[in-house]
Amino acid sequence: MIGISKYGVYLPVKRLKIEEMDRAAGGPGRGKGEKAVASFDEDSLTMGVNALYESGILDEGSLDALFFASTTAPYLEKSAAALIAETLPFAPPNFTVDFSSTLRAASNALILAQNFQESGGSKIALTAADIRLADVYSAEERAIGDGAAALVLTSGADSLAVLKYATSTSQEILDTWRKNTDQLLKMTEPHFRFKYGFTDVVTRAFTQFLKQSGMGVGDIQHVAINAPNVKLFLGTLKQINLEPAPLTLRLYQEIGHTGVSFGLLNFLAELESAKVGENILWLDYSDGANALLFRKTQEIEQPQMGKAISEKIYLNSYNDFLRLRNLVVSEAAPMEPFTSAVMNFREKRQNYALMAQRCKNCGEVTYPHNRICRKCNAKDNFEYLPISREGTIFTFTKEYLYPSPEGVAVTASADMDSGLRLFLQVTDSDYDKIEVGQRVRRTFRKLHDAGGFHNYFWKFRVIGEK
Amino acid sequence: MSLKDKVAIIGVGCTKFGENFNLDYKDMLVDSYTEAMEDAGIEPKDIDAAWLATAFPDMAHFEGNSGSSLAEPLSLYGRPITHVTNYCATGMDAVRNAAMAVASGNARFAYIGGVEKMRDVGPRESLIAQVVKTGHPVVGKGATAPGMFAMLETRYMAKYGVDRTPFAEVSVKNHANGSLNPKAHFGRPVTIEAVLNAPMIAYPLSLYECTPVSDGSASAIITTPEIAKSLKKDYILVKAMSLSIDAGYTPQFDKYNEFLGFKATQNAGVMAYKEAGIKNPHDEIDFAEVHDCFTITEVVNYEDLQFCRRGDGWKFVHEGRSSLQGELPVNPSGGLQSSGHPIGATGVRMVYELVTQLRGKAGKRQVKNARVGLAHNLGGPGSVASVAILARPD
Repeated sequence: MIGISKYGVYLPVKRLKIEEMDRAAGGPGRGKGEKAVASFDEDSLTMGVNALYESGILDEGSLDALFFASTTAPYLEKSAAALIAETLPFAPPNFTVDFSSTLRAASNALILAQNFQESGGSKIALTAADIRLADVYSAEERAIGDGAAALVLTSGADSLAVLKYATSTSQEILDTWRKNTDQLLKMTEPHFRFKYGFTDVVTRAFTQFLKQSGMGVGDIQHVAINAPNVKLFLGTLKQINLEPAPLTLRLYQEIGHTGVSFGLLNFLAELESAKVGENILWLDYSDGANALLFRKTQEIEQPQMGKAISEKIYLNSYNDFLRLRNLVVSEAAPMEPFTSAVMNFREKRQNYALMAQRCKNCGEVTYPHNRICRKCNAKDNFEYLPISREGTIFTFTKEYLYPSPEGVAVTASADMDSGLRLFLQVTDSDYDKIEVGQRVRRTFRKLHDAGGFHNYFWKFRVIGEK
Repeated sequence: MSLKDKVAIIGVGCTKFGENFNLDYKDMLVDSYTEAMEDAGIEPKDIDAAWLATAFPDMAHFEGNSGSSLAEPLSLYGRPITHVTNYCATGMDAVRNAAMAVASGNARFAYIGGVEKMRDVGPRESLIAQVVKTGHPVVGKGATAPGMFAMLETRYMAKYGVDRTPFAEVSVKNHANGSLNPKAHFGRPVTIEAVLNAPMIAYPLSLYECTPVSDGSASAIITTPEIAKSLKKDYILVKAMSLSIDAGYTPQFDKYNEFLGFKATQNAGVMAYKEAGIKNPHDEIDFAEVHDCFTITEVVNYEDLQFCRRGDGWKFVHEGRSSLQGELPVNPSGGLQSSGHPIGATGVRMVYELVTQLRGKAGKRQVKNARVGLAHNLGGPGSVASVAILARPD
């Protein structure tokens, strides 16, 4: 039996108010709520990494498999899961798999993780993320948001929740789609897609689940669904006389539908709100529907959902959103940094896992890597250890000449808790309030797209005062 | 081997620094070379060896990437010519190398030409383009020269509890001096309000606290003191020339870096004072040209070069001690703030300024009783520094 031993929630910190979107479209400022907006330096892969880091996976020491689920993976050909695995400070697992093409990809991955575990692989990381775009000024654009979530799955003993039952039903339908050449969501008219794409198939999946599991409606205390919008969500729940947890409702109202990760986020919100011993049914629709029944088996010592939803920086305008998503046309000649696929390959440990080196002769810990120890001159005598996630700003600057979609590129040198000094760009922080002595946490981001590929590295986020 | 009293400077030249749109790389070199040759009174055939100081040849398409870039415009073929590059310390390092050739007897007359062409492209397309387009793809990405120095000012202000004022005062002082220097890029004084309110370049440095992006060339001709005496030249003696490299490309990853000064400057200073036999820099140096690429740099230079105590640099400018009338005038030429910084030319321009001052020929910006001068050139940012100490022979 597979169980969740750890989980991570990663929501981008930027928010765009729905009323601002309405105003930008020429409206009076109608519309409640807001949506989560990934920064210009994020993609589904970086959010997948950050969700994993939030789960506490760094303490694990090993993995048997890593699954990544997204409909907006940064490469159509080239594994994101393989790269995500290299950001972890231990040897990558033998089995890395990328799941895509459907909004139920995360629960698909979970069902298969169960099968994988039954054949011997004991520890599986699953991370899901999406950044989707719909037409500018459209209604659908107001309902979708960006976000990620991750699970560490083990054999069930000492889990937070165990998977008791899973069923699946498949359905071919054109409700929403994107061709491999499309950037924006396409969809049929709402009445058709909501009835057949969502309501009917979810009802069928639910009925099928009850039948096959032998459970009754009364045995289910919580239901999480990745419904296309809050109205359909509440309407579906009402049919079985259930209310959503406040955090779950906030996902719809303040974050938006985060694609592949939405079902998982809904599930985690319900899981945090449930009592030990209660059952949580996760209905994950799209191209059919999956039904997964979990039972909560342990208290969650450190819940994450409330903090992740509540921590936010508002975008000033819809214009900012367009800039972040690179939808503003410019013919200014770009300056492309030097890059090299060979360097990326050679420096994975230094750049992706951000490992520091410790001289075995004198103990000095340094980054970036050198062959000759700066302190004792010993050559090629190092071991590698991860740099801590957090540190304290020693000094910083705000560069106005370095090209950045935000108009300023903030950089800081911070003394990391693990004992070395790290220099990174700063992102997703209140740049007006940045100060020596503030605490920062490193976050995985995309620096640029030079060389025709994505160049990933780390940046700092300010997380609080000293 | 000490260079003290083994090298004499007999000729110097310098073009106007600025946006020399009508002059190319070669034109500027010819102009400063001509002025230096006329000053020295020697013939081209007398030059045994030459050094070309150009820090970043790629900024001027490719000119300056070899000694041939000096040979061609000056028609100086058939002799050794070395291209020197060492970030912003390039100019002074070229002079230092030439000095070693003369002191060792390898060359009788040596020529140093510093030249940089930065304004054939927009201001951002030279140095900013360089940090964007070159360097490691991700590690350290996002740093620019103003940013790296700005990080020192952030730390200095936090540590010593000062605000931006003393740094802005460096800009005011140097622009005032520069207004007395016909060769400076910016010949206009600025007010402290203008400096503090100018657009931010890299917080906390504003536009008027950063050296402008400039074109320019400066030249020097050196020989032995004996030859200089026999030619009856108004020569200046080299008392010391040093170079120290104390950081790689990544001082921002160094946990021992206090961001309050530069070891390279400190060490280059110590080496030069030892070579020149100077025990008390504040008392024995009459004036100095120091590397003020940014205002913060000048403030920490005072401390690193031992003109004042650690932590008192901001007072040194705030109390007027480094002004033209002060006890130790710093950057009487207007420094990089006002002259500009065609990188390879700067170190050689400092030699031009020192020689001019020591000869008593500096006109309105003349330092009184100038007998011993110091020039400091820093690059990296912060990893390599060169110090030269020059003096009148009497």
